[in-house]
Amino acid sequence: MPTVILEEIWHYYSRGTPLKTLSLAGLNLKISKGEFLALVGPTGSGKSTVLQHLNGLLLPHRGRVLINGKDTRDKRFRKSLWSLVGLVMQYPERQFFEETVFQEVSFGPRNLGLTDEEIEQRVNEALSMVGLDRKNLWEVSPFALSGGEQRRVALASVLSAKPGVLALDEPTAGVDPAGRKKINEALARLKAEQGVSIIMSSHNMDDVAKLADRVVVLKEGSTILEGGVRQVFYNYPLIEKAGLRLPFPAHMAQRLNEAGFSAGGRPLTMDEIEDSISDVLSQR
Amino acid sequence: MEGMAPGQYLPMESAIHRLDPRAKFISAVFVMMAALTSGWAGMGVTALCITAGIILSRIPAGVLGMQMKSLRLIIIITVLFQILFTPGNVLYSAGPVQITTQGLTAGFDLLARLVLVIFTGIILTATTSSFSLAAGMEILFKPLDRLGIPVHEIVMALTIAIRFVPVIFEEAGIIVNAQISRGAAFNGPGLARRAGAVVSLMVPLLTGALRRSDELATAMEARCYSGGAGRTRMNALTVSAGDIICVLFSGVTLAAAVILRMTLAL
Repeated sequence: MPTVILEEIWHYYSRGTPLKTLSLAGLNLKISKGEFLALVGPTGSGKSTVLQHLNGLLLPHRGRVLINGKDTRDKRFRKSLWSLVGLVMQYPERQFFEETVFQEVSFGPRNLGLTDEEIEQRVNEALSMVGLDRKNLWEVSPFALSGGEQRRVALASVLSAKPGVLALDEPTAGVDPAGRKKINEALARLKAEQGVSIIMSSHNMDDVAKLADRVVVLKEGSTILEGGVRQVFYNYPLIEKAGLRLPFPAHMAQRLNEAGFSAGGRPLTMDEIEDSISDVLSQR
Repeated sequence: MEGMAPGQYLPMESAIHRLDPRAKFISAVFVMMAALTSGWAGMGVTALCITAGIILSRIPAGVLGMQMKSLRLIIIITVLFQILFTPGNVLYSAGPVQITTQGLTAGFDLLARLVLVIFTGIILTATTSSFSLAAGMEILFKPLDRLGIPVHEIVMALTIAIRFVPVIFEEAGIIVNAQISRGAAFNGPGLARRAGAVVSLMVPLLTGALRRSDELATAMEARCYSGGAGRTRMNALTVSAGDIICVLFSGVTLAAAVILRMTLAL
């Protein structure tokens, strides 16, 4: 059974006022264990709303959300839900409040009521997962770090609760390329080494192409395109209609094909497009 | 967010919306004075004037009701105090609680005046954005500059503060959600955990406010803002016939209320 199931969920903002707006219109979504799903779509398409449904911050007005088979409307279940589904919100470093990195990252495990020993172990694991395992970092103020490091500490502060499902809202927005790379590496390792199911919203199609197994394209609160990364990014008409950009290799392949060369194999990584180009060159 | 904050601006089109904020401010002061100083007859006149204002401003009855509702606690407590603590002829008593005729009269008198004053305030704030109200008040209070009061700076600070209220509210909502996602228990059991949750909200809220104000200050300096001296307005306020009528109308209401009370004791 899929780890996460969203069944026909409808959600409105400002319900019961004249400002009521529809944000999700009967959305269906399934995420299997260890799967990496990317949510893409224009601003206001409902990506953040979907993510906030996963850990019970929002409840569907119609339809239901099942995590490990349990309904998020169950109040008791919701109490422990935050530790099952980790949510990394947009600009998560803005929620820092502790004096040291250690305290910041240990906030989750402390709320779980773990022992000091376990807490230290969790902090250690979470920080090494995001590539920040220098021990002298523990006593540094999180506010003193660089932007990219802050983002990774924020990610670690969610990972320290060891969630089986991780929901990320544009995790690399506003981070420099080096920081972006580190975050993407951490996400790939989480999936590969720990089998964490990941659902990530993003505007960066290169990140999506590199990391995701499956892509869901949202528009005005419903799915307009869904499938494996290659299937989605090689559906040019719909990608254009959704107002999305192609990942660089796919864009390159499209231009090659337009120019009359046949770059086959639906390349999505730099290595693959390199191969396609050398194929094209050897054809001449 | 549920309900409606008192004093919320309603961006709509109406005769009152189009008036100069200075005219609206002066008129509102007149009508409030009338509501507070008049006798019974004068209150009737004031009520008529306010009704006209409500109709002309086209504020939906539901919105009036919602804004009133958010103030109900204050109104009820004030009126109850008036009813319970005015000495006079005892109508009813239960233990230490006494209700007197004078108390009831005073209570209803106060209730009527409060409602009139609040309606006036709602008309003013619902039809005037905080920016245009501030601009109007800045001009009205300009003479205080001579007394060394920095009118422009005070008004600017107030405008910015008002502008940032919804922003800070939204940010607080985001932070609460983020901390709940890390297991903060804002409503849960255990005082220590709850206190920890509050700290996890207050610190980022404060740092966020400081960051915003820092950014705003830089942005203002980058646009060469240097205080009020010699500043002109892009949208200069102009007085129209409607403004004069509005002020005259409310002035007449005040005069009628005062005259009715002074000469006929009504």
